[in-house]
Amino acid sequence: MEQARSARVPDLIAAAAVLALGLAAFVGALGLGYWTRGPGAGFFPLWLGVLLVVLAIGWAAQVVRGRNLRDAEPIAPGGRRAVALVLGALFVAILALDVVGYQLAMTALVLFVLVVVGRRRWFESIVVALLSGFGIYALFANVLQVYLPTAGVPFLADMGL
Amino acid sequence: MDISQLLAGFAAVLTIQNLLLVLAGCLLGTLIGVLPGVGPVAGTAILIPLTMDLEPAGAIIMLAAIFYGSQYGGTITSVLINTPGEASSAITVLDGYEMTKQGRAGIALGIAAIGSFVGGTLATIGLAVAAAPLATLGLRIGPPEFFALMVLGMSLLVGLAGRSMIKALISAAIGLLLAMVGLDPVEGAPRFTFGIAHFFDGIEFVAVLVGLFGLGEILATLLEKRRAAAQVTVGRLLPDRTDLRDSAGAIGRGSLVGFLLGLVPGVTGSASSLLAYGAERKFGRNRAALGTGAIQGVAGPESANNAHANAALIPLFTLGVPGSPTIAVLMGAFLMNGLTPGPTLFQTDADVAWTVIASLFVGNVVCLVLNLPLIRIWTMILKIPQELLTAIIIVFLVVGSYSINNSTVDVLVMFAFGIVGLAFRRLDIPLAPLVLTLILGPFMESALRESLDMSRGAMTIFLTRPISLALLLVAVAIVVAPVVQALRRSKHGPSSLANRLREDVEV
Repeated sequence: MEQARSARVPDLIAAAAVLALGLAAFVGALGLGYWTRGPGAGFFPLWLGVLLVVLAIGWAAQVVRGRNLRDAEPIAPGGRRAVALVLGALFVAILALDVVGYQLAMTALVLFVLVVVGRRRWFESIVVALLSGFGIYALFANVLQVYLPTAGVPFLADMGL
Repeated sequence: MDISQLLAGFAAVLTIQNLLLVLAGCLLGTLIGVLPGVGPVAGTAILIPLTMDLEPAGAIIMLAAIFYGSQYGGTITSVLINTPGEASSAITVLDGYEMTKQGRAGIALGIAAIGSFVGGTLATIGLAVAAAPLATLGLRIGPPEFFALMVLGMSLLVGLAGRSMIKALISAAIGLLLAMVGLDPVEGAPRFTFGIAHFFDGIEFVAVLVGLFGLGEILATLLEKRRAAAQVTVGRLLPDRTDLRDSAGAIGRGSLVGFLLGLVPGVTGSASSLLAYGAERKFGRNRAALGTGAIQGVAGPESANNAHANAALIPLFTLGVPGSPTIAVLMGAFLMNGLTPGPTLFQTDADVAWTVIASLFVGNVVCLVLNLPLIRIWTMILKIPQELLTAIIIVFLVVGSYSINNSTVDVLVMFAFGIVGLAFRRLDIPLAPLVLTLILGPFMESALRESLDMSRGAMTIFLTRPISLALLLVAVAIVVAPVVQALRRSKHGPSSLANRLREDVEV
């Protein structure tokens, strides 16, 4: 019971998010035209918005009454930190794709994930990072003729990155 | 069945290039099944960009091979490390891992490959026989019936898949909402694009799926740190005469169960393997031995999930309705290649359809031949440290989502849906309904709006046409029955199929 109660807050937040999504869809759909000779562009999203709102309220009601709560897998020690680090690094790397190019961005990302999050040895990490960054780029460019993003900064672009 | 068309299909498959595509697809699919953290949905989606340079038939052949190859591969982790590589092999863990502990891992994998081959081939024969006649029937279906059929498929998914119907419905509704993004299919008005031109063509479903299933799963693995080390000896591979005699019945029953359930849109492969296991518990030989490393506990479910995988192509080919998330991805690939799966496929692109069907026969042979000798290589992959796999998989998630349209916007979409995927997992919201509605959304909406156009806005059109009425009634029954049952369940009443399946999941 204790555990079930601890699961309530995230469930309620999620239900609130679904509610907000439903309301947003409803409001957005109002501006799209509900009926134009036949059902219009806003017809389907409007009813979806209503459905989401109803479902969110239903879910929240279940949660408040303590029903339908399930314990998720326990979070491992350091699990939150690992997820936060990977998400942060991945976000930065994605934003960097068009700036410094795939090769540098991915090499740095893999190196970070292996050394900082995974605590792997430096040598192994550098090899895997270079293969992921430069190796994959070369493989895709030469074998598959798929060009991964290159650097937007002229100085790096001149170096072929 | 038109034999000449099937033979022409075989002729088209048996070229060097297409055979190589089947081979590559089977290998990649098995790899996807083996790798923890990459299931068939994300795996197939990531690999779609690889096939974009191919002609349509080749692309579909390869993706289909990836799809059923992953069914073979998922077994390997179930048997060796007590962790299913994909959901439909989950039940195999029970007896498969016990067999591993007894030093019979090789035999478990061997019988799984043989059972998968038999199940897959029988279901493909069913596809070859039934596809064209069913497609002719499908041609008579109008927008109201099509809409009703999709509602039925979704209600099955909602009714069977999850433990909470509200959560499954939320998932389905969010998928439909995502499908609305882009230009409206009837009038061309932009919807929910936030003025970003990239979203005018709709939100890229491959990026969404790679995020939900790929990144989401990787994040969940990081958060929960689950992973068992593979310290196993594979041992002998080929089952002996006693093993074969013990499993023959199970393979037959499993194939039948998988084939029949595969025909029903909305029923996923895991339902088939669970039911096949249930069948062994009821009718099988040495029932008492089940759960202690009985070979039929591996043979039944594994035959069922492959029969299911191949049979599930029947509703896709004949009605254009994908029955499971992975089939929905495959449907997306058809659409990207300019092919519309459904009754018209056998008229407009009959040669492609028959080539793909023939490739399924070939692919099942290839998977069987590949699997037995390569098992030792797959077990080596299981010994790669989790941190390395995480990093490498993230690289492929980025590359896969970028190369769909050569756009970093899609990589950001993948990233965002990775977080959503993690949230869904933690909140126990099923992902399958979202996938189905995301891909079917535009079709559902067009069908609904065309129907209402036909009836000048009267919703009664769905109730006055007999086929659509019947389909909708079944759909309503599926959704309402468990609710009624829950309300009435003061004592232990007879449990429905859905409840039995749910209880089985928690075994």
